[in-house]
Amino acid sequence: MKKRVWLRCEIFPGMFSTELAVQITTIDGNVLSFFLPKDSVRELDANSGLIEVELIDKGADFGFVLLPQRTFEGPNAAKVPEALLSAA
Amino acid sequence: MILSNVAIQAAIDEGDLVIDPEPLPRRPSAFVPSCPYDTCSVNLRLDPQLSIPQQGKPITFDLRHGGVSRFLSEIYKPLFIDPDGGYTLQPRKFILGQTLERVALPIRTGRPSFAGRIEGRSSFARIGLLVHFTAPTIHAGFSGNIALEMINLADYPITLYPGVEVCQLIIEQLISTPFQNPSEFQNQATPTGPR
Repeated sequence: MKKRVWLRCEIFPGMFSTELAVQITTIDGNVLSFFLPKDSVRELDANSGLIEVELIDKGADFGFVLLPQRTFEGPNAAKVPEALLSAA
Repeated sequence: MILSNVAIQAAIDEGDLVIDPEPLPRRPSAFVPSCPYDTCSVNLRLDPQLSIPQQGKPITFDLRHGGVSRFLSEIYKPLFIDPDGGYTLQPRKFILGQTLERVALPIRTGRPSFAGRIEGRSSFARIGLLVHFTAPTIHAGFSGNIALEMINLADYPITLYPGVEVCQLIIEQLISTPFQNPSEFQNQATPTGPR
């Protein structure tokens, strides 16, 4: 299974005005974060947005997604709640 | 294999490498003698925007905690360089800059893949300016402006101006088309720190 999907995430102003700080909470409760160019994020409101990720696998209540880049915390993929995913 | 200036320009023409805006001119001429290409690199310019750490905040940085990007955004503030007066980087101070050019290294099946390395320039090194001190690798698949970790190691202030050719980009060809590795997911429960 490999499919492009939207992942809902938290967003904050970045270190530069051209980027956003993106934060994802995994199904295990770990917080992962990275920076993305603003044009890579579909902003929904001041603190939430959608980013395009690759869905690698699915479980009962989660999706295993490949993130657009490696996170500060280490992983470049994550198990996220299925409710945060939508069709791209 | 490091790309020559000719190969860098060919990669741009083929869409395997994006540098936007494209560094010009491609060759020096009597009319425009300054060319950003050296034999195996291309110079990139300093963006007008810097990111400056705020002084005086009681900070303890703990890499085991998640949400690093948000934390960094809270302690750094963007600042635009005065085009006339410049920005004066004081001795032993650290700031973040970025390249004016956006660089993309797309991974496309059936096409060559490239990675990059950002390096300082010898002229700036000689006056004590580091434009990066770690993390020089631009991975295949990257797209964006390249962050520059800048430190003034000299005993005197150094004034920075936007648009100055502050660093050089070296491009290397990968042996095959890479895959992105989701296996690191297995370590997710024990965050290991930033890249």
